[in-house]
Amino acid sequence: MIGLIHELAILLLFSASATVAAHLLGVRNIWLALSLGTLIGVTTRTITFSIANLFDLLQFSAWLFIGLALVVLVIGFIRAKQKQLLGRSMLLSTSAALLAVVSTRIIGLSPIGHGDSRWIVTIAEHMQNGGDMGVLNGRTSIKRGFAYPQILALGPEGEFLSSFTPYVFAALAAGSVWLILELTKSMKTRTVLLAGVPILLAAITATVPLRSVFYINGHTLTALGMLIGAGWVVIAIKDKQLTQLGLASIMLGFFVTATSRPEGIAMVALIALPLLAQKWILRKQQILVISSATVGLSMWLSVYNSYIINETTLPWYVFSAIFIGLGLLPTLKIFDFLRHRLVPLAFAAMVLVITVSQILFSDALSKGNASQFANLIQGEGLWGYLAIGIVLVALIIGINGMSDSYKTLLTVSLLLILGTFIAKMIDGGQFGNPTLGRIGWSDSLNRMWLHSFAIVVVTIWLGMSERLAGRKQ
Amino acid sequence: MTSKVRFGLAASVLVTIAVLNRLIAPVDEPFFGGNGIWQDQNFDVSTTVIEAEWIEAAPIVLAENFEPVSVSNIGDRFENGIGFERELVEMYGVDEVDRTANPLTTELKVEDFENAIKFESDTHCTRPDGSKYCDLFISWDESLTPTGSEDNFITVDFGDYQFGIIEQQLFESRSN
Repeated sequence: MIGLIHELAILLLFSASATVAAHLLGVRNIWLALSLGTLIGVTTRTITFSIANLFDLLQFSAWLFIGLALVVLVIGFIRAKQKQLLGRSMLLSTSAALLAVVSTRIIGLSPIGHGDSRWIVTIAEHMQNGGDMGVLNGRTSIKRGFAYPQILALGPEGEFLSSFTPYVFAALAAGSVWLILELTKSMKTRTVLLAGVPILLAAITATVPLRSVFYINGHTLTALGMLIGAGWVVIAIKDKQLTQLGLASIMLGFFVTATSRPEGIAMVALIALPLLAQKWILRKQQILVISSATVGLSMWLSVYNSYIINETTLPWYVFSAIFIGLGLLPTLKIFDFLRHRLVPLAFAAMVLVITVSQILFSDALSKGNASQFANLIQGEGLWGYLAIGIVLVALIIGINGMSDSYKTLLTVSLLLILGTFIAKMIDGGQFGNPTLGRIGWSDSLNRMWLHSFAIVVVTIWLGMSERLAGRKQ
Repeated sequence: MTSKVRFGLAASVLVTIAVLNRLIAPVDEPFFGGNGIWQDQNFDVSTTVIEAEWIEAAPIVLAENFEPVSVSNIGDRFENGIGFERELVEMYGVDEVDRTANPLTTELKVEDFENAIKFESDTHCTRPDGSKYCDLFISWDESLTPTGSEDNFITVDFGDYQFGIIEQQLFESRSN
């Protein structure tokens, strides 16, 4: 019972304070308030945890976060304008929190057991105990994420915050609702709802999307960061301007993605490409977008005493300064001619890498290719036949007469699909030839599709809506 | 093709996929029940990973039961030894781990320790057949060394890809 009360108190505080913070940031949409609020809460925890680590105060890191959340909740609520709207946003987010706690702590729904999940909860317990983060200097813990176990560590003593995982799934679902509503503003709600039924039906009849509700791993948190980032990239390109709220949302999404999964920084780089390629984007905005990811990853590597930094023999702050500085190179004016052509260049480069790898490492990759065929086409990865369906539907929808938003989302989706293959090859290639995984749902590439799944679903949903409406938006 | 026809075709494909997903495609449980408030609830991290017989749980089992605790003859998992994850050793506080010597070989059988086995799981190892997994058990005798006390363990290779991490006094008592 104490565990239940603890979880309820922490998750309600997390959801309420994060929603207030999102409202203060300028969010006036209840769905976005839940999803962006979650990113704000996670970012705040990551930063306060890292600061506590810097001053050897890790045993107080949870209290630091709780104190800050309480201050934001109280002061933010008092100062907030449009309190009625804030109340509705808080009702949605706290209801999601309540439902999440009920599902794990009262009904007792549990995730599928998996080795990666067990690594993550042990790292979370270490964080909860205020243990020395310097011991996480091996090749395993770094692959299990940084931001996600920190939130799990806010659970009861010796336990993990079990309700956070389904809460993130709710935030991801809310983010998808926000994005589709935002991109179909001029359509009838009935049209959009009707168009969404087939893709949602196909999605929920496969095992993996449902499994991700409770599965303990950073995939859904990564997906949330990527979705919000991609959503604002599409909106900014559509409106030909990046608003303050859009910039802040992209930065939060990229920060959380880059601190949730090792391949996160590569994924956000691909999402950022269409935005960075715009001629109207300010150099300051480019710097902030890129740095939100590189700063996040630097913090992670530094706090974990990563072997990546240790192998350079540089102090963490020198490594971080160099890493963040290198990330800013593409923003230099002399590279503008390249920057404006980033999307076709990235496509060409990735297709080239995949083709050359398949030729050079044909033996090493043949097993992986067969595994991916079994996982995605024959259904062994527990995605049902979604991959076949999505490709067919994208071809049927086509691009003639479709909106720029649809084309941008489709571009981002394709970039992410190619990038995910390459990320897996690089991960497998750390210890020899590149690989493309094994048969079964637990294969890491098979699970990595979760990162871009929400973006792909929204893309198809938007395409279906536009085709049903019979006009460009 | 008109927009509406495209929508109709796309919707038909997706509905067909949904039906095939349930009728033909491999499916599995998305999650489990059984950890409810009226049931035998367990959210304790150490207990859950040990009860799940996690392949990496050996250091946690030792650290949770003995203080201080040391283990020898772990060897190198890429040669003749077994996996004993360094990061978990430090996180959970196994006080001393000697990896320099390979696991001891013995004439004893696994059955000789059966009544003292407290934990069983797979472990990482290197086998000539290409498999990376071997069997592992951890055993101690409460009457010789009660939990909570200081203790030393040694790693023993029983052949046939079976390993044991055995409390030293127990191993010596069975060896005599």
